[in-house]
Parts: sequence; structure tokens; C-alpha cells
Amino acid sequence: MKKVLVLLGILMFLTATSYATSLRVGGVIKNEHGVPIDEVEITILQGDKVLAHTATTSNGSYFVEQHIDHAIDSKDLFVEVNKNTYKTEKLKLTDILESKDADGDIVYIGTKNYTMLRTITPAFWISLIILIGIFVLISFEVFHRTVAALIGASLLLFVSYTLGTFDESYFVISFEEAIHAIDFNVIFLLMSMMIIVGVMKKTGIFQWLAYKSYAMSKGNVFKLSVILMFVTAIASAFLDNVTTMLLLAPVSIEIAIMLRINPFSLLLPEVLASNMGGTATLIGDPPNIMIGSFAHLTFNDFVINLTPVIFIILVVNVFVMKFYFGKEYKKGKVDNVNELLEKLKEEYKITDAKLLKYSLFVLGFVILLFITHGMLHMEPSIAAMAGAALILLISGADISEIMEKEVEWATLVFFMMLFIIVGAAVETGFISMIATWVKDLSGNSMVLAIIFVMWVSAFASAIVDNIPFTATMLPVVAYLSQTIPHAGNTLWWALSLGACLGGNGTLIGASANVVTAGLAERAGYPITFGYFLKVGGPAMIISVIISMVWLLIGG
Amino acid sequence: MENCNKVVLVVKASEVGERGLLRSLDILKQKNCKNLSLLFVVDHDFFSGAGAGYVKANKTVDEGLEGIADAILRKMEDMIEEQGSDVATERIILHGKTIEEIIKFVKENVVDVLIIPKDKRGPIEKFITGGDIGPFIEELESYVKEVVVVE
Repeated sequence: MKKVLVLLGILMFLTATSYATSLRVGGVIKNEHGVPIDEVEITILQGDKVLAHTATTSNGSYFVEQHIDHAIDSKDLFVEVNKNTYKTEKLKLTDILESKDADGDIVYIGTKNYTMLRTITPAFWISLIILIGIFVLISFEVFHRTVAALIGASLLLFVSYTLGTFDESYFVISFEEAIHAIDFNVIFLLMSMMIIVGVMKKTGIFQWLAYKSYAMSKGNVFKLSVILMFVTAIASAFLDNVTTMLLLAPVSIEIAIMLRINPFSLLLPEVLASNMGGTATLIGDPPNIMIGSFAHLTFNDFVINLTPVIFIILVVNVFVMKFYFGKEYKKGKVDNVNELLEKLKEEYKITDAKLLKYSLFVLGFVILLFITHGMLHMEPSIAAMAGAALILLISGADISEIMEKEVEWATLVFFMMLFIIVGAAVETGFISMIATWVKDLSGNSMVLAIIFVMWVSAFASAIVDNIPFTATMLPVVAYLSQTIPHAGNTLWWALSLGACLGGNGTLIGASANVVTAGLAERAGYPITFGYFLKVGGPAMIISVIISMVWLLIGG
Repeated sequence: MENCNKVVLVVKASEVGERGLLRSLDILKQKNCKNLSLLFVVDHDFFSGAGAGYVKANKTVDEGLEGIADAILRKMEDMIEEQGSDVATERIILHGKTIEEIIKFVKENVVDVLIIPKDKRGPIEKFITGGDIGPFIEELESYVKEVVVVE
């Protein structure tokens, strides 16, 4: 009995002392750009013996508390950090604090922050090849851009979950990371504005605006061109450029034919103004929507920072267009302006006044929400969604018809797949590489950074689709904005101005240019690549120079 | 005395279109014909700029193109009047892909002369806007007695 009691006593003593030691280790893991890395595998080791496992959270932090049933040699503690596409490192824990908790147990507390370095893996090359491949496929119009993007995104995930299952170095991006990479604020904003425009189109308002422009010009063709430029720019600031041109261009062509002038003298100023106008607001052009969402810039931020310079650019380009088309404007002759006016009035009247009233009310409501969304800490897509729901409700428009014919689902899927592809390039370190290279090029010089971002964006957008280009540049500009002193939001404006205005450089620079060329060709006036370059190229360069000066002087 | 079935001009508003009209009037005079059919195809099958994506078929785009058609046809009719010609015109507006509709038309109608004004377009423009009739002239000639290309 005595022996049993002694044994029990020893057991109790051992049990009491077996939880007498705790180890607490925490820290933050970041990449070379100071961005926290999530899902880094953290292993706490004593020598080669694993004591604990954890992973970093979305803010790069980790914390592990482990009860140890044996003595710890604090000089032999390590933290191993491991994540695909980064170098695995075993880091010695130094400066360990030994303390006692309230129960008198010993607590070892260690902190290890670390900056992980990238390593080139097969995943890096896969994401790089796919990103560049998508750019090429879209630029050369081999496939529809949605098909190209879908192929790219599905390949990345397929490789990750096949080859990547057997060899981690082939794992590019997880499904969760892919979904996380999609900016649904952009998707819902685009979808909702498509619905609003789709309903508004039925009223005939756009064509009526073109007729009204002619009425205001009183037969003066140069005046007509100026009015059309501003009408197009304002429409494009709120509605998509392609729809604006599809609706306004036919009327302009018709007016030009009746005036016996070359429609280019009206079409080219219009389409250039369309791309300029789209730059002025958050919702005017998809690159701005992407930039606004990524950088948390509000509708008012865009209006305050970009609308003034766009207005200046428009005014200057009025004179540029006069230089090119002045003679053509003088040729325009109408023997009876009033007769032509009556004809246009009859042809381009408002077809549904009631629907127009509802549409304008909803548009006004949506713009009011856009103006206040920053104060309300509300994503702009919520404003647009509210407007879309309201316009469908009060207009009685056929939801099936709107969803089928007005919402460009292919475009929305393109955006989603593109976000995944760029997300993969971020995960594997390719985008970081570009960001570092750009930073090295510009040093800490804000001036060089503005010039570089703006002009590269402009020339790239003149040649390739500005949407994938902008998507790729978002993390790059984010890094530059964080690391260059006093950058503020200036580099975001540089990206916006470059990416949007660059579309005026060539015939293929923007979708609005392409559809205008299609309409012009049907009328018998094909716009050649060379002709567009002759007019659009200088207009683009002048616009970007004005923008650059605007930003450099602190506009 | 009339010596022809149909003389058809594919209309364009540009200078080449105007030359096409004048050529048509000459042909009508030679053949002693008094009727000219003015043909336009409402073809929205051009690139939307979305990377090999075409503009969606929709009423608004078609209405726009029909407005353009009306303007071009009126211009041609006015020009005929200005030339002092007493030729009577007939408007033919087709909907669909340009070349398909023209071939279908000449198959279904007896056309003596088909006048086609042809713009100068480079490879990029042809690729983007489509509707290039050049490769189909031979096929058209199998259905039409005479195809006249005006450049």
C-alpha cells in the first residue's frame, strides 16, 4: 500500500511537472516588397525535432503556443518557413525571453520576423508563359479574348492540381487563391452599368443627342464636330465607349453623307473624344474601374484629379482636329438646313419618353451614389447594382432580354479569368520582378516614375488591349506608390491616363476605334490603320504630354 | 428598247461609290436600260474589338446601319437627278453578311450587270472589318453575266 502511494505520488509529480514549460513563438513574414505573405508553413524545431506547426494568416502573421513536456534548450530553437515559389529557410530563434506565467510555469517567448526571398520554380515559368501567351493571343485576335483568358486560367488551375499534386514546385495557384484574386467589385459594377445602358438605349436618347448637336450647330460643320466631341466625351464618361460609338457614329455618318463631307471629319474627333471622356471618371473606362477598385480610389477622386486635365485635353484636341479636317468642314454644304433638321428630328426622336424619364432618374440616383460612395465606405458596384435593380423594376424591361442581349457575359468572364491569370503571376513572383525592375529604373525619383508609368502604359495600350495591361500593372504601381517617397495617388493617375489615352494611338488601341471603323467601312469609308495612326497618333501623344505636365506640376 | 434584266449597283457613299454610280449610268446608257437597282447590305458582322469577337446582333446597330443605308441611297438618287438622268431606281436592302447576301441575291434574281465599287483596304482593315468582296468575284461571275469592279 505504501509502495502504491509512493508510486502515485511520483506519477502526480511527473504529471504536474510535464506541463511546466510552454513555448510561444510569433512573428510576421513578408516578401521583399514588404507585402505580408499568407499561408506560409511555419514549423518550430528544436534541432531536428518538430515541436509545432502553424501557418501565417492573411496579414502575414503567425503565432504558436505549444506546451512542452521536456526541457528546452533555448539555444537550439529554429523556425522553418516554407512556401511554394519562396526559398525555404531554417531560422535560428534568438533573444528568447524566459518568463513564468501566473501558475509558475516556465514560458519561453520568441519572435521571428522574416522577409522571404523568391525562388524560380516551374510554377513561375508556367504562369509567365501563360500571361504572355494571353497577351499575344488577344493582341493578334487569334481567339476571342474570353476564350484566350479561359484557356489560360483553366490551364493554370489544371496544372496546379495535377502536376502540382505530385511536385509542389509545379503548384501555381490554389482554387481559393484564384477566387480571391477575382475583383467582384469590378465584375458587378460592369454588369450593372451594362443593364442600365441596355435599358437607356431603348429610349433613342443617344441618337437624339446627335440630332440636337446638329440643331445647335445651325449648319456649321466645325461647330457640329466640336459639339459632337463634347457630347461623346460626356456620354463616355458615364457609359461604355463602345456603346456610345455604336449609337452616335451611324447618325454622324448619316449627317456627313447628307452634308457631302467625308465622315472621318466627324467620326475621328468623336472616337478620340470617346476615349478621352472615358478617362475622366471612375466608371468611364474599364481600366479606371480596375484601378479605382484596387487602389480604393473613389468616384470623386477621379473627378477631382482627372476631369480637369481631360477637359484641357479635349479643348486642345478640338484645335488638333481642326488642323486635320478644317478643309473638310468648310466643304460641308446644305442647301436647306431646316429641311435636313426636320428630317433628322423625325428620324431621331425619343422613342419612349416615359422610359427616358425613368432612366434619367435612375442615372441621376446612381451618380449621386457614386459621388457619396466614398463617404459611405461603399463599393461603387453597390451603387451601380442599386441603379440596375431600380431601373429594371420601374421600367418594366424584360429581364430575360436584358440579361441575354445587353449584359456582355463574355466580357465579364474575360475579366474573371484575367484576374486569375494575373493573380497567378503575382503568386509566383513574376509581377514582383517587374515591380522591382521598374523601381530600380526609376530609383526614388517620382518624376521618372510618372514618366515611365505613363508613357509605357500609353504605348502599350496603343498596341495591346489595355485591360490585361492594366491588370498586370496594378500590383506594380501599388509597389511603386508604397516605396517612392510622397507618391500618394499620383502614379495611379499616371496609369489611368496612360492606359486610357493610349487607346487613341492606333486603330486597334481601343474597342471603340474598331467598331467605329466597322461602321465607317459599311458606309464605304474604310479607316485604314495608317490613316488612324496619322490622326490618332499625334492626338494621343499631345494628350499624354499634357497629362504628364499636369501630374508633374502637381495637378 | 430595253435590253436587260437587272443592273445592280452595290452602293457606297465614298468617292469610289460615286464613280460606281457614274459607271452604272454609262452601262445603262450603253444597254439602253432605264432601271437601276441600288443594293445595300446591313451587315453588322464586324469586330467588336474584343479580340476576334463580333458585334452582337442587335436592333440598335441594325437601325443605325439602316439609317446609313437610307442616307447613301438618297445620295445616289440625288446624284442621278443632278446628272439629268431619267433612270428609275429601286432600293434593295438586305440583312446579313455582305458577300453571302449578295451571292444569294444574284442566285435568286437574274442579274445582267453587277457593279461593285471596291475600296483600297490594307490587311489590317480587311481583318478587322471583314466584308471583303475581292476573293468572291469569280464566284459572282458564275451567276451574273457581267461583274464590273470599280476602283
